Amino acid sequence: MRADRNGKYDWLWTGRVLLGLLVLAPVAWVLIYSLLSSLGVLGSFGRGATFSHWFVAFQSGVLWQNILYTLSVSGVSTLLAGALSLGFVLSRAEERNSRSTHLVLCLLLGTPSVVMGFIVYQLLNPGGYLARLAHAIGLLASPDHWPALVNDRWAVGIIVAQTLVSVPLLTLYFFNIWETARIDRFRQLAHTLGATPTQSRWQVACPMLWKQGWSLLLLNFLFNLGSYEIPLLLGRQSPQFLSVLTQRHFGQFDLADRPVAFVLSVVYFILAAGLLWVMLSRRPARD
Amino acid sequence: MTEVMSSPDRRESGTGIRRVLLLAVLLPYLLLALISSGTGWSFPVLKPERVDLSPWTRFLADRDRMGEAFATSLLMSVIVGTVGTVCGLWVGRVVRHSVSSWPRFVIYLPFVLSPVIVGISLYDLMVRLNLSSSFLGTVLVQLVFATSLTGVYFSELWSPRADRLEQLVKCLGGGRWAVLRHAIWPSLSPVIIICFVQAALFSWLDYGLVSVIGGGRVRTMTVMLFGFLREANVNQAAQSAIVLLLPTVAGFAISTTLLRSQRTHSEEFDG
Repeated sequence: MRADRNGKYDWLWTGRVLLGLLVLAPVAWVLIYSLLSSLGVLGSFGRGATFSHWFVAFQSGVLWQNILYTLSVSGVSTLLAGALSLGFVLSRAEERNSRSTHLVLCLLLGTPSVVMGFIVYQLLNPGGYLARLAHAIGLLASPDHWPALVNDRWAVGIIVAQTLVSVPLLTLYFFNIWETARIDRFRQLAHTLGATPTQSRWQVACPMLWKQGWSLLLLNFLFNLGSYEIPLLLGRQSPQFLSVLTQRHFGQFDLADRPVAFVLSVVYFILAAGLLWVMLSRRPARD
Repeated sequence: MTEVMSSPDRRESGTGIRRVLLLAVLLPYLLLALISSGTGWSFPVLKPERVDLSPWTRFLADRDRMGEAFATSLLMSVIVGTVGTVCGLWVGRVVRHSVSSWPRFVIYLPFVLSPVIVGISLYDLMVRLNLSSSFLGTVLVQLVFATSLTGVYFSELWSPRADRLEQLVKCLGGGRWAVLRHAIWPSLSPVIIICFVQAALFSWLDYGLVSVIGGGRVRTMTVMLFGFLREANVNQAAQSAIVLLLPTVAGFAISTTLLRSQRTHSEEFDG
């Protein structure tokens, strides 16, 4: 690890060592340790390699149910957030220069998931503020008649909270693309060629935003997939998000249940790493 | 396009929609403030019977050792922010200049992985190293995520100007510190500040890692907030939420403003 006269290589080597020690080694540990623990090789109950924990986890069908639940709720939240932010940017592109819009987006962006979960709970629970408003205008006789919107079957609360957390980041990113890709100029060109504002919006601006923005949408889906605080506050006991379920199996008093937590951990790791690989390999190369 | 935008009708309807949207966004925060300072708020009343500062006075009286939790969170954020930014600067540079796609994949991994799942898998290692349930152990695991976060930022926002200035400083005989002082800092200072803010905020808001690695012994603001939520102590939960929220909003406001200025700056320089 010798430095050259310009000191260039020791900079790069410092970076490589830090990358290896601080990122690669822990990530490799996470994967290898989870895999070996799920196979019963490591951990308190490590009594030789066995696939029994994997069979137990998958045979009951509960794991599939939780995986599908996590994927679908994260997918719906991402699509909803993507549609809302794309729709807002396409219809009100001029808002990118507005200070008040910027401040509102920062307020939303700066709201931590746990606080957003708390706010959504206070708004949507049967004794919450929306139920009180509905009662005040005569739409609701008692909280029992209020539809279950938190800790509910359809994960409405989780979807609302995840969407609200995602929208500001996506909107700011789409505004940024609008500016850097000079979409205004392309739309102007389309207008001189005879396109209507609606046509230029949907056939010029929208594909340009989508082409550069899809990778952030996928990244957002990955963030939602690993979400913990929001499903913990607003989700049900079953099915559960993978991170909540993993923590539940890990934290239970019955230590024999721990290997199942590592089965979940491996499944989640493969899912997230696979999607990340797809995202990075399909992204256009940087300059 | 301009003719559509400048139409007075549209401008008026736009202002109307804007006000409604603004109100819809701000109302929940107002609700949070009301919950934090209101008492006697049973269904179906729309506003608390009494709104005053007494719940805040009780909260600030520090019966629940909120001061300690605040100081722990703050110290943790400053350490993770500083060390994470310095490490991320080096790591981001490696990723930026790497021909292979593997370093980029590796640096993105913790960025997208769930902290709580990573924490669970690292817990045994922390126990073996005698670092579980400790401040240091929690900070170390948070640093994995902070380095990934800042590494991603640096690799994505690295300015070509920094490389050109570095070459210039070296041609003029400058050493490593001269490069840092005259090339890296002037061209990347907004990104460095953004990275510090984001890494510090990650630590400030982290609950998953603190709860798993800290094992209940490391008391941070998020741990306190979850404690209040479990006890259904709505008043104090709302107060902790506000305390958590304020620096976060300020941090994001600083970050997005700096990002805009960084973009304008690089456009001016490159263009």
